[in-house]
Amino acid sequence: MQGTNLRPGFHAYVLVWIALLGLTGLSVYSTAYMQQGASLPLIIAFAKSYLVAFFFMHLWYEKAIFKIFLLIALAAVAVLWAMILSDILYR
Amino acid sequence: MNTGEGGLEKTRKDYAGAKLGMWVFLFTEMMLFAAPLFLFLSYRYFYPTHFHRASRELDIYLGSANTLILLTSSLFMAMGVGAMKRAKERLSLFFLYLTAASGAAFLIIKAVEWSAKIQNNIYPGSMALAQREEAVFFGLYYFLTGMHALHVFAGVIAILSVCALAVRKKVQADEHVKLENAGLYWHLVDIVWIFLFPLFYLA
Repeated sequence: MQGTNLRPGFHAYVLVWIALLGLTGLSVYSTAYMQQGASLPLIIAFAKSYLVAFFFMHLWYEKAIFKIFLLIALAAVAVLWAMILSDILYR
Repeated sequence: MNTGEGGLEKTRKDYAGAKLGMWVFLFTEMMLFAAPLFLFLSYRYFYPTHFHRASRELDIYLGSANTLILLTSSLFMAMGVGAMKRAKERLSLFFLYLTAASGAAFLIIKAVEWSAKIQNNIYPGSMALAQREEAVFFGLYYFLTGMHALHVFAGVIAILSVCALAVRKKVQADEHVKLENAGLYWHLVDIVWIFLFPLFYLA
């Protein structure tokens, strides 16, 4: 065996799944009471992808290098978004 | 670990490297989806009312059902990988088949949704749609959900390929990196939908 990492356990997966369903319900429910273009569903989407990446994809349990790679990729996306924003907001 | 228990040379396998390689590929996928999503957000910034109106035309029930299906399929996938690591091959295969079936169910619902829209003359290149202000929304809707559906299809193929390997014992408890990478891909497809759902259906 290559030192298989058995974490997280099945119960943790089920808890994450329940949290994901709850957050989905919250974002659908919230749109009925909020003005158009509200950003809460998008913020919830980030929370949900954090749960999927860190628990279902085991990022929480991986070596630091995986998280550094993720940060670099997210930084690249943020730079792209910043350049688009600077264009559309100041044109 | 170069040597096995009997001191025999074993082929050295770099599992961390294989997984990191998969992650780098997933980052390129993230870029692929981020660019058109930014295009969507920019247009939404300029035309909030049109996007809101167009969004209300999408079927929120089918969209929510697909969200539930993909989130649950991700749970099955995580369970499948966990079972394989614990050498429970049959249980793992059971979860993997469930994951693939969920993917198929997602695609069927997507097809139903698209057909309903196409019957209402909402499709790329439709003359009726070209006269409406919601054309940009639906153009991006077809582009992004279509690209995502292709990824779901590829994910189902990947899962079934890993199942075929698992049946032949080519993927097992101490040789599960292919399954783990297929799982990472499947979870990424789930994450993409996590963003598409609120942007298109809850705009």
